Formats: sequence, C-alpha cells, structure tokens
Amino acid sequence: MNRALREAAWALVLSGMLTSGSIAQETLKVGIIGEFTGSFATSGESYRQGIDAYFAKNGDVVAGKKLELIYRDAAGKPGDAARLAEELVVNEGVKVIGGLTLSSEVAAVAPVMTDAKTPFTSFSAAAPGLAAKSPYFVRAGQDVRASGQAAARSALKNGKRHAYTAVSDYVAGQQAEEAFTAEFKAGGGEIVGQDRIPLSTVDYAPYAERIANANPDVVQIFVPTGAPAVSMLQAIGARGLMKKIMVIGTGAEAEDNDLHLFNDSIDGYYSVMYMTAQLDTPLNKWFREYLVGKFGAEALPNPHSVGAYDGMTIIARMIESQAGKQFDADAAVASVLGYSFEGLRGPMKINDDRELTQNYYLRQVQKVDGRLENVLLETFPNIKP
Amino acid sequence: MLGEMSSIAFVILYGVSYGLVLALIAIGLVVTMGLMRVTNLAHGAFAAIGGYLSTGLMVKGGMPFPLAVFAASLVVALFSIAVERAFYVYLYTAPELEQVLLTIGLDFIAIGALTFFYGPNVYPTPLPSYLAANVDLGIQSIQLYRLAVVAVSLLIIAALWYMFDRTTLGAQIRAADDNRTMAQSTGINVSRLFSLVFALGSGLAALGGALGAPMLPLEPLYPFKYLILVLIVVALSGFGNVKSVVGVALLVGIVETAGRLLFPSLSGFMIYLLLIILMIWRPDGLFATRRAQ
Amino acid sequence: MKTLPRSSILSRYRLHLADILLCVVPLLAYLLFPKYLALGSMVLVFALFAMSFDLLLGFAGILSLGHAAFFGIGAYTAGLLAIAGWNEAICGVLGAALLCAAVAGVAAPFLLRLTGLPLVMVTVGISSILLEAANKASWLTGGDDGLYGIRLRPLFGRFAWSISGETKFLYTFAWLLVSFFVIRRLVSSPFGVALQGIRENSSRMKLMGNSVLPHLIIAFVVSATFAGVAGALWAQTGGFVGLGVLSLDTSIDVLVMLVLGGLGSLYGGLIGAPVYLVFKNFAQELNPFYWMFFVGALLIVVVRFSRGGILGLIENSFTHLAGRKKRR
Repeated sequence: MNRALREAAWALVLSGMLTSGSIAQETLKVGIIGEFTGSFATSGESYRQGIDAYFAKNGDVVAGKKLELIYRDAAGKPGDAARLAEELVVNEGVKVIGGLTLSSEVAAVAPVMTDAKTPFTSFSAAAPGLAAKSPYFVRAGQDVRASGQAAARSALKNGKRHAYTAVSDYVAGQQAEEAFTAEFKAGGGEIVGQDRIPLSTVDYAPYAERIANANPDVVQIFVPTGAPAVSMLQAIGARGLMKKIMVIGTGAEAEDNDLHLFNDSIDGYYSVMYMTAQLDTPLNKWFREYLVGKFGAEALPNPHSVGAYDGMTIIARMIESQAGKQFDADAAVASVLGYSFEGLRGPMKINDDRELTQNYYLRQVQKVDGRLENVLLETFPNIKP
Repeated sequence: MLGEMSSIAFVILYGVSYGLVLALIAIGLVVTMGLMRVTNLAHGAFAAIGGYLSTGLMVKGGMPFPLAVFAASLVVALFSIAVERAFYVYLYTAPELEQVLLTIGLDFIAIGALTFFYGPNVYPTPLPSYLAANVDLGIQSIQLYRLAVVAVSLLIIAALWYMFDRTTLGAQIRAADDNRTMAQSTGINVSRLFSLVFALGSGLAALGGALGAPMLPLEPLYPFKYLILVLIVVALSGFGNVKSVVGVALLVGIVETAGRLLFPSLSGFMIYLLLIILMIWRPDGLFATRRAQ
Repeated sequence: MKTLPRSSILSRYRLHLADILLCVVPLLAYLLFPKYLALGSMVLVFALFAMSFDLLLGFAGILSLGHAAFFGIGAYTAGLLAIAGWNEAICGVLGAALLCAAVAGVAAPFLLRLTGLPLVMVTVGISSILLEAANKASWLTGGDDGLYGIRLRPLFGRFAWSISGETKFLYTFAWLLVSFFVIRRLVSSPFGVALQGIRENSSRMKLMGNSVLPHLIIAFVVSATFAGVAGALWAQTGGFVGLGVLSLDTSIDVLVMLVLGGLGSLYGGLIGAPVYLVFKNFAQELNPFYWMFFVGALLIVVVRFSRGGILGLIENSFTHLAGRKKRR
C-alpha cells in the first residue's frame, strides 16, 4: 500500500515537472507609450484598436515568444514620455517601445533609447528627420513635408494659383506650411497669405475671415486633431468657403472616425494623408470591418490605428529576426532595413536611413449614401522623404 | 474702404458675441468671489457641465436647442446647491489658498467625470439648421447663431441688471456684499442668500457654456481651458461689480477677436499684454467702486 | 498661514527630527527602490521647486501663479549651456541660477508693488507671454518640439550618467540638501523673521521702521534662484526640455503640491511634492483614463480634514495624542 502511494506521488511530481516546462512560454515585453488622457486621448484609443486588430489577425506569439504589451500614458508631456521610457526599460524590461504620438516625445525619448540600446518606433509622429536622433529609431508614422508637397501638387493640378496657408503655430504646422509653399511656388503659384495661428486659440472665426478677405483659390490647413480642427473647419464652413475654394488639410483634421464631430459644412474638404480608409486591399477591408464590428460604427480606420497596426508589423519583424537568440537591438534594427511589405496603408518600405517610403493619398469629404466619408481621389505612390 | 468697414463689422459682431458668452460665465464668478469671498476655480466646471448636459439633451433626447440650454442651466443650478452645501460652506471661513486647492480638486473630479461619461474627445454641439444659416447684413455676412447669442445674452444681462438694481433680493445681495455683518444684523439670512447666489452664478455659467458650446467646443479639459480667460475678466472688473463685468468681457472679446483678425501672429500675446497693462494701471478693476469692509 | 514657532526660528543650528528625516528618507528610497530612481529624481526636483515656492508664498506671502517662469528659464538655460558645449553639470546649474536671479532682480521692484489679485493676474500674464515667446523663438528653444540632446560630462569626471539613474538621483538629492540648508539659514535669520512680520501685517511693519519692499525683493530673488536650480536639474536629469516647463499647469502644480503639504515651514513642499507626484503616478498606472478623479478626491479630503495641508494633519494628530496622554 505504502509503496504504491509513494510511486503514485513520484509520478505526480514528475509529470508536474514535465508539463510545467512546456506550459511556461517565454514572453517578450513591448512598451507602448501613448496618450490616454489629455488633448490627444483619442489617439491612444486608436492605438489600442489598431493593436487589438493586429493581434486578432496575427496572434500574439512571434517567433515562439508571447508578446506582452505594457501601456503607459504620456498625457501629451514629452518629459514624462522620457521618464516612462526609462522606467519601461529598467523596471519592466521591455525590449522594444512603440507608440509615441508626438514628434517632441520621440525627440525626448531618443537619448534614453540610445543609452538603453532599445529599438523604438513611432506610430504617428510626423516631423522630418526623426531617424537622425537615434540609431534605434524606425519610423512608422508619416513625414509631414510629404503631405505638404502632395497638397501643393494637387492644388496646382487643379489649376489653383493663389494659395493661402493657415497652420497652427508649432513645428509640425510650420514644416507642413514650408513644404507646401516651396512646392507651390516651384509650380508657378503665388502665396497670397500666410497665417501661423497660436495653439491657444479657441475661436477660429477671425482666421476664417482673414482667409475670406484675401480671396485665394486654395487654402492649406494644418491644425491639430480635436477641438482646434473642429473649430477651424466649422468656422471655414460657416463662412461658406468650403464650397467656393479648395480647402486642403495636411494634418489629419477630419479623419473618418472624427467626421461625426462635424456638421455638413465639412462636405468638400480635401486632405492629404498617408492612409485612406477606402484603400481597396483585402487587408484594409478586413481591418475596417473588424474595427467597426468590435468598436462601433465610429471606429473607422484613422492614421493612428493604421499607424499602430503597421508599427506592430515592423516590431514583429524585428522580433522575428531574433528568433532563437537573445534579443540584440542592433541586429533587430538592421534586420528591418530595406524591409518592404504590404502594410495596411499600402506598400511600405523602410529605407536604409530608417525613414519610410510610402504612398500618400488625396481624399475629399463627400456624402456617400447619406454619410460623410473621405473618398479617395488620387494616389501619390512611393514618396521617399 | 469697404474692406475696413467689413473688418470692423466682423470684429464688432464676432467679438461682441464671444464677449457676451464670457460675460455670462464670468458674472457668476464675480458675484461669488465678491459676495462670498470664495476663490472658486471650479466655476468653469459648471459651465462645462451645462454645455455637456445641454448638448446631450439635444443629441440623445432630441430636445430643441433653446429648451435644452434652458433645461441644462436649471439642472446645473439645482445641482450646484447640493455641491455648495457639501463643499463650499466649509470654504467660506477657510483661507484663500485652501479654497484654491479644494476647488482645483473639484475641477479634477469634474474632468474625470466628464471623461467617464462622454469620453475624452471633443463633444460636438450640432446647430439647428435655422441658426446655422448665414445672414447677409450688407457689409458683413454672419451666422444667425451669433446674432442669437447676442440677443439672448443681452436679454439675460438686462434681467440681471434689473434684479440687482430694482428688487429686494438684489438689494440684499448688494448689502451683504458691501458689509456682511451689517447685513446679517438687519435680519438678512445670509447663508440662504449665499446658496441662492451660488445657484444663480452656477446656473448662469451653465447657460454660458450651453449657449456658447457651438462656438467654444466642449471637451473634458474645458474647465481649465477657459479658467484663465474668465479669471482675466473677473480681475479686470473688480469684485462684486456686475455692471463692469459686461463692459470688461466685451473689451476682452473684442480685443481677442481684433487681435486675431489684424495681427494673427501676435494674437497669442495681446490679451496678456492688455491684462498686464490694465492691472498695473487700474488694480481695482476698470470701473472700481468703493467698498466698506 | 502657519508661523514657525519661536524656538525653531531662533534655534537655527539645532537639527530637528524633520531635518534628519530629510537626509535619511531619500537615501532609504534609493536603497529600497532602485527601479524607481527616475521617478525619484523627478520627485526631488519638484520638492526643491515647491520649497522655493514656499519661501515666496509661505514666508513672504506673495502669491504668484507664474513661478514656472523661473523653473522654465532655469531649465532652458541649463539645456542650452549643455548643448552649446559647456556640459559640466554643476556649472550648468549655477549658470541657470544666476540668470534667474538676474531676471528676478530686474522684475521684482516693479512687480512687487502690486498685491493680491492684480499681482496674481500679472504673474499669470507675464508667464503666459514668456511661454508664447518661447514657442515663437523655436530657433532657440526648439519650440513645440523642445530642446533635446542634453548630454553632460560625467560628474567630477568620474560618475557617468547611466540610464539606471543612480548618479542623477544622488546629484539631485545633494542639490536639494544644500538648497534646503541655505534657505533654512535664511528664514531663521532676522531677515526671515522680518519677512514673516511683513506677511502678517505689512503696514505695521512699515510703522515699526522696517522697509517692506527690499525684503520682498530679496525673498523673490532667492525664491526665483532656487526655482531656477530646480529647473536646471529637471533639464539635466531628464535630458529634455519642453514648453511645458513654462506653462500655467506647472505653476498650478507647484502651488497644489505646496498647499497640499502645508505652507510656511519649508517642509511642506518636501512632503507635498512626493505625495502628489507618487499618488498621481500610481493613479495614472492604475487607471490611465480616470486618474484625475483620484487626485481630485485626494485634494478635497486633505483640505476638508485639515488646516495647513498634510503637515497640519500630522501636527493635529500629534497634539491630539499629546492631549490624550495629558488627560490620563
């Protein structure tokens, strides 16, 4: 009796040891620094949606390792982003960091990442020249200069020769304006007015009035998403400008998931962006259906959710390249140089300088079946920054 | 010539409508700070809640705009009495900094609550079609909504004026404002008066927030965003001085609008420059009156 | 507004329990929480900032909602010095402190002729203008993108600034201690007593023959200097300076931290800053969406149940206990 019991006990212990070995799977931690409160909070929500979709499509195991995501809220403060990045690396042991909505956050985090030898990518940041700030940075967002240039080209193509630029007075707006202006002038156009609007503005009606008084035939806009975009575009619409002249935005003012914030006066608004919810690829169609199905009718693809999805693809590629070895940051970054893939936003290629070559799209808000939508008008393929 | 006339007309029409909404919000704070000596930094929260409620009633409840604005203001006024009894009674005898701290705490809670109920995004306020249309006044075309704001605000302010100057209640408020102990000794129930005035002020703020929502978009950070502007109006008009609030708010609205129209790059500075100059020149407010202590 | 008891003012050479705690607690934190040193450095920077504000508000009775201006000037100065090549840490802080003192010295004689709400609004106005100017001068400040790439030479040539944050923490702590003892020496002196007298009743002080304005100016300048030190440390430990250092939010944050901790005793800021920041940090981690709720509740509870912030709470409980003991 005793002997049988003893043997059974040993069997139990042994089987426990064997099975526990195979149940325990290695995890790899990825940090996501986003905005979950404050003025940019919707971008954080979009990140979650994009990442959720990515896992739904691809599972959360890459190269035999289970990805564990750790979210932190930078609340729009770059200084906090730097500290959070440090904490994620030192405390949590993350191997890669993603997210980073603002260019200033990328700049703040860059020295920390270089010191920590950790690859990082930004899903949304738009300032040019970010890759130069750290050898571990790979861009997954956009370059705002490309948007400005594409906007100028569209305007010239449509026969417009007198442009007014109205951008918010911060670095991203200024760069969009400079890129637009250079391209527009090079094409023979004339700039009839140039406004840099303070970020603290609440009532945008005076700026719409200035535009109207200057009588341009095209207006370039760059205003942050959210309350500023809503105020500015409604003021322009209220002034009757949306129908009279070509109003073209370069800063994600009225993406599909935000269109419910506007009234009908936004009909006719042009915009240039590196993604379009209407891209006719199976992946994009699936993405759109998945988001709407899981998160509601307003959860249409926007630059942040698309950026997050494509960013996760890049991160996964980095991790895959390190399969079976200790995670080596330098090798991981090297593995994505020249990486060409079909992202959600269209064909993407990571250049040797870790910047991104991608398509840019001209869209216009139109009423389709009674609903406002950003309809794809034209594609500018493979723009290299 | 026509261009200048048009610009002047624009500044007047838009600046006045903007200023009057500010006035509605600020009057409540001026009276509270003057009468009850409470630095109420949570005042903007009542404006925000009023705006959110009104928009919610329109969007989810299908109420017409005027009814929604009125209903929301009433609800907020009643709700504010509860808040006053719970928190503000304690503040009447507290030092100024404690008032600041507690009301900032209330702001945080309001922002957290608004984010919880309405999400972190902008909460757009749809304009009824009869207000969204433009009216051509010859030299300038303006949205009918803005004219409606001017008309309604002036009506309300006139009613307030009348109340403060001609009714017993108004006299009681002015008495308690000038000299609280004296007023009490003449039999005025000061604590009930405080509750009433607080409700009035908060209701007015809610009205301003609701009426102005199509112009000043609603988002959870609304209480902090407009706090400084409202404080500027309050500081420049002196305490307890309702009449001057309107004048000062109009000045602020016009300077802001004119600044942005004529000097767009410098417009971020203009209102602060105005503030500094006026505060140094007239520290007691632009139209200050003597006060007994 | 609390006044320091006579004994503590005059016994400037005696070490109190609180002083010992000040020396010991951060070191304990350093040993016990080696993974939270980045948060710890930030807490120490703001503790210093709050303490400098205590000198201004708690002792001199000057309410300014623009103190972030000096924090920001200090931060940008230290950042720019490092980027320009003068990247020795201590010199960076001294340079920042000097500039802040100079700016304060120029502004104070005009500013401090105002009192009450006008003074508050003018400080708001000036710091808002400074913020807007910093945004416009993006060639200098980096504008909205901020100042990045602040790298420093190893401290004393030996201690490198590692990502694990040990050097940064101890460096900041050293500055905090030095600043604390300097300010404490100042407020325990006849100057400090005069300052408190002015705060209580400036007309009476004038009648007694004390000059009010020069005292206030000195307090303002010293306060600004240490705010600048805090700002410089922020830039050096964070490696980045954004426009937020000049914002109204920062001025309000430091006010909240100070009043939360308790005014007028120099220790208030040192308590309020850690409590506020640590609480906020964990509230944000717990629930990134609704953390404001919890922080708001904290503020309301503290104000509701004590006069004089957390320090007041501690004092009350001590006197309560002492009272109970006596009755027995």
